Formats: sequence, structure tokens, C-alpha cells
Amino acid sequence: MSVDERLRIGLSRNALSMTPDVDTLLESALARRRRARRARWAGAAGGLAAAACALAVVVLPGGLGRDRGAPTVPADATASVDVRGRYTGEVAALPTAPSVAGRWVLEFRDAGVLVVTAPPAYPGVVSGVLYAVEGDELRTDLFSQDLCSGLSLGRYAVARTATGLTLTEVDDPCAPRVAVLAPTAWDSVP
Amino acid sequence: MDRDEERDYEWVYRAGFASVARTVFLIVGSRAVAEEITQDAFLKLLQKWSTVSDYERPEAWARKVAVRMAIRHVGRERSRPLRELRAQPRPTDPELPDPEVAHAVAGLAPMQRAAVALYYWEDRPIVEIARILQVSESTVKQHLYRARARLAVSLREEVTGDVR
Repeated sequence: MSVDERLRIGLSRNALSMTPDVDTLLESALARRRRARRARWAGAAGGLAAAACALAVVVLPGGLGRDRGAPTVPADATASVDVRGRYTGEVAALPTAPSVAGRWVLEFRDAGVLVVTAPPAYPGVVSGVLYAVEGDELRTDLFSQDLCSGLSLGRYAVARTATGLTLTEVDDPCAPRVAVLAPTAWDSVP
Repeated sequence: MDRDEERDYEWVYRAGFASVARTVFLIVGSRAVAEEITQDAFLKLLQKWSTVSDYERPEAWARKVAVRMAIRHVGRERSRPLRELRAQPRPTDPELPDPEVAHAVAGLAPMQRAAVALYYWEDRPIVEIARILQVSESTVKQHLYRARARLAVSLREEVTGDVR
């Protein structure tokens, strides 16, 4: 057999062994687009709200002056845990997802942006991850584009420790996400 | 993007994704990485949809982007120190129907891999491969000539004729 013939047959057989789940991937692509658009709108709305507040402070100094020193948070509201910062954790291999093993870095930024740095061998998508904290509960869509595709957000009880952060599962239908986030000691890094 | 545009994009995505992903797979040698690269290329297509949707074949744009990303990926992987690569756990792909060909192609330089995938799997003419890889036709022929010679040795097959 000539090398050309061998290559045509061999490459064709190998290529056809790849059968991506196109529907799920398409849905994920469109969801990312929608999320990005929502984030842009939220940013714009936030900017407008900030501008409106600044204007109110400038225009109505007397009216608001009387309330200076009064608590701005209602008595029944709970202050949210401030998780902003960078944390690193060593994740063990999972039988169902061996590629998650290694050192992960989570950076909780303003505006609910979670920047995730995966171990070099992790082949999944970790861009465009979002989070939100309400009281001591953190919600995130980490792995929503692959390992947790089609599943709802993960909810975790979050607590600051002397060295970093702990996340305890409250409700998360995605086992790989639980296995990465919950048992790992997330140490604060500069 | 309105509903009609989204429908058009969905159609292009459904029609082209698997084909592009397979070509990328032949270049990078990993299903997971191929899927990720192809998804990134189609996300770029989505971002530029208002412009690219006017092209005659929008999926060709995504294919070109994906192939170039695949070449860059292979180049980066090859430049990583061997010790570092060995230390990382590798995602396990299911067995390939023809592992010998896959192994032989994995021994080629990134551009040679891409030229081989586009020529032998996609059956594209040299002029089109040159356009996708952004090199001259003679450079594509050179890549194919060297790749064939090397593959003939590793696969213990004979080289007959020449590329068209």
C-alpha cells in the first residue's frame, strides 16, 4: 500500500472516531454569549446607578447630611463574606475526572468575576466563570461549559479562615465541582 | 444579535462544528483539546458574526481560525520541557481505530500535521491549504513532501507519485 493510501484510510478512521456532542456545545456557546451580554448590561447599569448616587450626594447634601452616621445596612440584613482575593489549592485526581488533579488558583474579583487558573493538563474550559456571595453562601457556575454542562449552579457555605477560605457544599448537582471546591484547602496568596 | 441571526449561526455551527473538530483532532491528537479549540473558534465566530455572516462560507472562517489555533497549541506543547509534560497527568482518550497513523502524525512538526490533515482527510487542494495556513503553495508542497517522506518511514509504506 502507498503511504498516501494508508494515510487517507487511517486519518479518516481516526477522524470519524471523534463524535462531539454538538447540541450541548452549541447551547454552551450561546449561553456564554448571553452571560457576557448580561455582564455588560450589569456593568453599564452599575455605572449609571453610581453616577445617579454621586449626583444625589452633590445636589442634596442637606437632606442626606441629617442621616450621616446612621447605619446604611438594615438591621435584619446580613453582611456578605468578602471573598475577594487569590487562593490556591491542590486538588486530587478524581476517578471520573482525572485531569482535574493539580494546583488550581481561584481569583475572586469585583463584579462577580471568578478568574480560574487550572493545572496545565486540565483540558476543559475555565474562562468566563461567575460567582456571587449572599451572606455566607457562595454560588458559582464553575465548569458549566464542560464537566457541569446543563446542570444548575453550585451553592456553598463560605468561610474565611486564618490562612484562606473554606467552601462547604450546600447544594450542588455537579459532583466534579463539589470534588474540586469542597475538600480543598484554599490558601490565600498575594 | 437578533433571533434570525442566532438561527443562522446555529445552522452554521451544527453544519460545521464536527467537521472542524475532527480536523483539529488530527492535528492536536486529543479529543478534549480539539473540542476546546474548535469551541473557542466558533465563539470567536459568534463574536464577529455581524461581519463574518456576510461571507460566502462563514464556517470556512471558523475552520481557518481553529486550524491556526491548533498549530499554535501543538507548537506550545512541543516547546514545553519533557520533564514538565511527564509530570502532568494526561487525559485519557479512548483507543483510536488506527493508533499507528496517529502516532506517526504526532511525530511531525505542527505545520506538517496541519498540511497532512487538510490534504489527506479534508482532501483540499494545495491552493486552499495555502490560504488556510497563510503560506505560499510551494511551502505547502514542501511541508507535504517532508511529511510524506517521514510518514513513509514510520509507517513502513512506499512513497509513490507526488502531491498535486
